[in-house]
Amino acid sequence: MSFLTRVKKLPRLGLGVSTEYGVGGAGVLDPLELRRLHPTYGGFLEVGVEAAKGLDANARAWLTRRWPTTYHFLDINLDEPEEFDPHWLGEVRALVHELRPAWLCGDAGLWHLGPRDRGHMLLLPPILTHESIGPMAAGIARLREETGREVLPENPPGPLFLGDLHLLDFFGRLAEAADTGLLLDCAHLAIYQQQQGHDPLTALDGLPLDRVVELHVAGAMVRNHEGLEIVEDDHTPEPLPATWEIYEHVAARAPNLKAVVFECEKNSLEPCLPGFARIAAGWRRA
Amino acid sequence: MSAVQLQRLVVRMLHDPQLVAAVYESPETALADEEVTATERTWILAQDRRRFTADPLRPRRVLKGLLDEYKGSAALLVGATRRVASLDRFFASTAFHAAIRQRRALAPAFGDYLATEGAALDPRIAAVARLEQAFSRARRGRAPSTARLAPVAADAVVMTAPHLGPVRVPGGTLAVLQAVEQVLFEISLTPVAALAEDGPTLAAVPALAGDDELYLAVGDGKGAVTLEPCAPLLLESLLVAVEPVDAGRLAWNRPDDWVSRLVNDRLVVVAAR
Repeated sequence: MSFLTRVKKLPRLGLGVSTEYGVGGAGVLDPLELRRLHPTYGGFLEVGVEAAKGLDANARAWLTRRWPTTYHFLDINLDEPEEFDPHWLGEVRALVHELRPAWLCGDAGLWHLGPRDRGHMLLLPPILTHESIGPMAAGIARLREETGREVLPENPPGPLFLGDLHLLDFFGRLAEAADTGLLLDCAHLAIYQQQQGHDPLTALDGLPLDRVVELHVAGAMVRNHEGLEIVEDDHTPEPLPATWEIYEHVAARAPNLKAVVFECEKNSLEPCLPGFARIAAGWRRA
Repeated sequence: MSAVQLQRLVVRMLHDPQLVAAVYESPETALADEEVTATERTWILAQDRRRFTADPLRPRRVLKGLLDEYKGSAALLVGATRRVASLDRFFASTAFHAAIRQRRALAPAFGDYLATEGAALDPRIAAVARLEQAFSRARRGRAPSTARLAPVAADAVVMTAPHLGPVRVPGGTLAVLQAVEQVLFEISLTPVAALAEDGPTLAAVPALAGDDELYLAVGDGKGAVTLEPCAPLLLESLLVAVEPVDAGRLAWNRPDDWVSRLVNDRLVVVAAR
C-alpha cells in the first residue's frame, strides 16, 4: 500500500506543542495547562526523545491521560546502518509502546558525530545530493518496519548547506524514495532560504505537498557574527515573517496535513498565545 | 561515499578553526588527503568561512562531555600548562580528526590526546589518562550473556568483553587520580576559589612511585564502573584482545583451554569477522 493511501488512515491531530526531556518548571509553558486552558492549541504533544534518556515527568503526565502524541527522535542518523543496533531498537520499541505515538518524525540529518555517545550530539543537515538520498531512504524504511509507525523526515536547520540540490528538491525526492510523508519545518526552511539568498517560497512549487503531514512553526533570532547575519532557530514565540509566509502558503495547499506544532516549549504560555492563534487562523483558511 | 567524507570534513571544520583557516588559505594543500571530489571542494570553498566559526562554543560543549570522563588527566594537563587552550587543541589534533574520519567515539581519542600531550610535561598525565581511558571503555560496554559456550575454535576472532577496561599503569597512578579528584571536589564546593591565589592547588598531588599497578575496570552496563586488581597473566591476555585478535594468538603459550575459559567467564567475546 503506497504512502498516499496509508496517509488517509493517519489521525488528524490538530495543533500541538513540543517538549524535550527536562524542559519545564516555573515560568515555562506546561503542556497540560495549555490543553486545559486552550484545548484547540494543545491537541497533541510532540515528545522529543533520546532513547537513552527516556521520558520525563511532563511526558508521563500527558501519557497518563492517554492524550495524543508523536515521537520526535533526537538520536538517529537515518543514513547510517550502524545506527540500528539491537539495544537502541529495543529501547525505541519500548518507548513507542509506551507513547503510542501517531507517527515518528525527526530531523533527517546528522544528530551526532560518530557513533551515538555522550557529548557527540549536534545537528547538521545532510549533504544535499542525489548520492545521499538512497541511504537515508533506506533508514526511513527500516525504522518504519522496526517500529510499525510511519516515519516523517524533517528538514533540519544548519550553519551551512552543501550540495547541488535545493533543500526542498532533496526532501521531495527523499519522501518519494522512502515512500513516506514529510514534516516540513517552516522555520528551518526560512533559515535555509535566507542563507541561500532565496525568496521564502522558492522551490515550494516542486515539493509534493500531498506528502506533507506535519508542519513546524517556531521563532528565530537574527544575530551578527563578524559582519555576517546568522539566523538562530531558538524557539522563541515570534517567528520570522518568512516563516509565517511559508506556513500560510503550505497550510493552504497540503491536502494531507494532519498536525502543526508550535515549537515554543521553553517560553511561558502568554507570549505564545498570539502564535497559536495565527497558526490556527492559517489552517482554518485552508 | 564521498558525501559521507564531505559531511565528516564539515564536522571537523566546525570544531577546528585552524583547519578552516588552512582550507580557505591553502585549499590545495589542506584538502590534498581528503576523500572528497573536486566539485565537493568547490561547495566548501563557496561557503562564507565565517559560517564555520559562528558558534565558537561548539567545541567546548563537546569538551564538557569529555572532561566528565577525564577530570584527573585534564586537570593535570591544565595544571602543567596553565592554559585551557591545551584542552581546546584536542580539536586540532590527529586523534580528533582520525576519530571523526573513522566514525569512532571521541572519548578514547581524547584519552590518547591527553596521554600524548602530557608525555613531555608530567608522567602523571599519561598515567592517569590511561586509567581514565580504561574506565571510559568499561562504562560504555555491556556484559555478554551468561550462556555457557562451546569451546572456541582456533580460527575464531575474539576480543575483550566490552564492559571491561584492562589497564597497566605506573605505580601510584590511582593515588594521583584520587588526589586530583579531591582537589577538584574542593573547587566544586567553592568554584570561585579556582581564581584565587590561595585556592586549592595540585601541589600536594603525589608523584608516581613503586611497581606498576594492574587493574580491570568493570562496567555494570548502566554507567557505573568498579576497579579491581587484575592478575598479570589475565591482564596480559585482556590487553592483547582489546582490539579483535585471532583466538590462536591469544592462546599462545597459555593452557590448552585458556581462550574458552575466558569466553565462558565472559571476559572475552567471540567477535564478528
